[in-house]
Amino acid sequence: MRGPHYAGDTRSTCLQGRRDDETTVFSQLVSNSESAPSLDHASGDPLFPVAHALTRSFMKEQSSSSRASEKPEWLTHIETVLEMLNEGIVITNEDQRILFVNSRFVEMTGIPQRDMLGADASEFYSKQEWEFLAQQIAVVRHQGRHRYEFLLPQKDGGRLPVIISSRILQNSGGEFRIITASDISEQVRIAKELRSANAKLQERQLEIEEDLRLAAQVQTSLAPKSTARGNVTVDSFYHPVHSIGGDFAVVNWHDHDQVSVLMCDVSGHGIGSALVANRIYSETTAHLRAGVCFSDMFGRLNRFLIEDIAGSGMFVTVAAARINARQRRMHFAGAGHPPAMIARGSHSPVLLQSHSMVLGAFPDAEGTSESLEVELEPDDRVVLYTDGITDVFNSSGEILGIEGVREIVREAASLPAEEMKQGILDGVVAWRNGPPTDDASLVLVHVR
Amino acid sequence: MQISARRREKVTIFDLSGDVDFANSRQLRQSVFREIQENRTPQVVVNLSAVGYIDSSGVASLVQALKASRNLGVRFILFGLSTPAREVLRLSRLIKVFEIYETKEQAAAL
Repeated sequence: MRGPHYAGDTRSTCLQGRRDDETTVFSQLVSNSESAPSLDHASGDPLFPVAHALTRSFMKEQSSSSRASEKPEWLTHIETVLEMLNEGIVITNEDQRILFVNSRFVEMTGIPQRDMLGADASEFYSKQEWEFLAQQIAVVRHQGRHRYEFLLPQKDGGRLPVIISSRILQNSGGEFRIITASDISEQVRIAKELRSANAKLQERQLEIEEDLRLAAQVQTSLAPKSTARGNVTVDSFYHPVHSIGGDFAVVNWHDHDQVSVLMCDVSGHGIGSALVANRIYSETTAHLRAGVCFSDMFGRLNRFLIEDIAGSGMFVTVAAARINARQRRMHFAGAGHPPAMIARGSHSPVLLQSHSMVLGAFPDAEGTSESLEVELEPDDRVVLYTDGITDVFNSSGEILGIEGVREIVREAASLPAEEMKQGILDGVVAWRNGPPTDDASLVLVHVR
Repeated sequence: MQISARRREKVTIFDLSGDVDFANSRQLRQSVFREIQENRTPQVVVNLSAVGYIDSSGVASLVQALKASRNLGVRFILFGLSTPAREVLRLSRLIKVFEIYETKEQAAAL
């Protein structure tokens, strides 16, 4: 609203004057006639032009004023009903003169009813606002109805957010615009709060993503690198389904011919699993370096998980192998983990099953583990992996499973050792329909 | 995963169908926990015959339910293990931890 367009007293004076239009105009014209003798010469009758102008102007103003303030009969009949509505109601004629406002609209604007009745609606708005409203009025005229958001000017200079619903009514030989204004200040306030909360969430999201990026860097740094010593080569692959995950592997070289490999999978995936994985990484690494036998290591891990990470609801599966290439001997133990495989020539790989249950679930898991001792042959390839390798589905919804991986490993074993890991991964990807859904890890040990 | 409950006097049977995985294992855990901890149903039975796949998160939920049952003296039973459900419990070496029956009749006869 143009400040002066409704500035309380100013507007009141203007409207008050309107009710006295007839008298005012008459006085002005009389005054003008007395000071405009030149007009008299044109007609030859010094009084005629004045009287004529007076009559025309008076009639015009009389007509205009009458039209402006005259309520159609139908409106008179429904005023009481309109007063009872919870929405603000304004009715204007085709000249945008305000014929009716209900008390709710008065309450919404703070502008007295007497100041609005008979006024030109445009006088309550700034130029920019009225241009906008004029566009909406044009739409109403074109479509017969329209609905839009608007900031309703208030007497104190404030703005009340409203939904304007406008309709054109043809009646009593005239055109009327019926405007309903619904106060949406509460919704706007809530939306503003939501936008603010959303902005904070986005900011927090960026912080979390940055944290996760750093966490992923840390976790990736823990993944074993592909290495070769003496007659043993270790190849590894690690891919968390999110930025971080619950899989990890440890490769610990005791000397050129002896290496320990551990593959671990914390149930679930994501941040919780990654935190548990990182928490037990150092435990398992320490046990491996110290040469703790697998059954003892599983027992300690089980106790640690139950006592120190109690209530997390997570458990851990582990596969561990200690390989002595010089003696061609391997000790293996698993706890609830998918079977490790030994690929030998073109034969179907040997499966090494877990003999312990998952760790971290029950206290009695410890002490049930047994370590297998396996004779190795030249060119044997030992494969450890997590269920992210086996639990992939094709387009028919069929799971690859252990037997599927076993066949892929058998086929990949015909490849040169340095190509075998990629051969296995390619086989898994060829089976999988869509992106991976679980953390996936693979360690391949080639004993020459 | 779809989960529905059938309640009798002292037994509640949860029928699971579809895949039980990371995305929905929480729902399974909450449903069973409510029955064990809030309703204190003496016997809770989970029907796994229509489960197509169950991942480690789903197994973890079953383990948690079993532990909560033991703590509160509730009998927790699995029956009708589908092949994938049986395989994952076998691999995790948890199959002997649970009380498992082949059919609903066997489970209900207890």
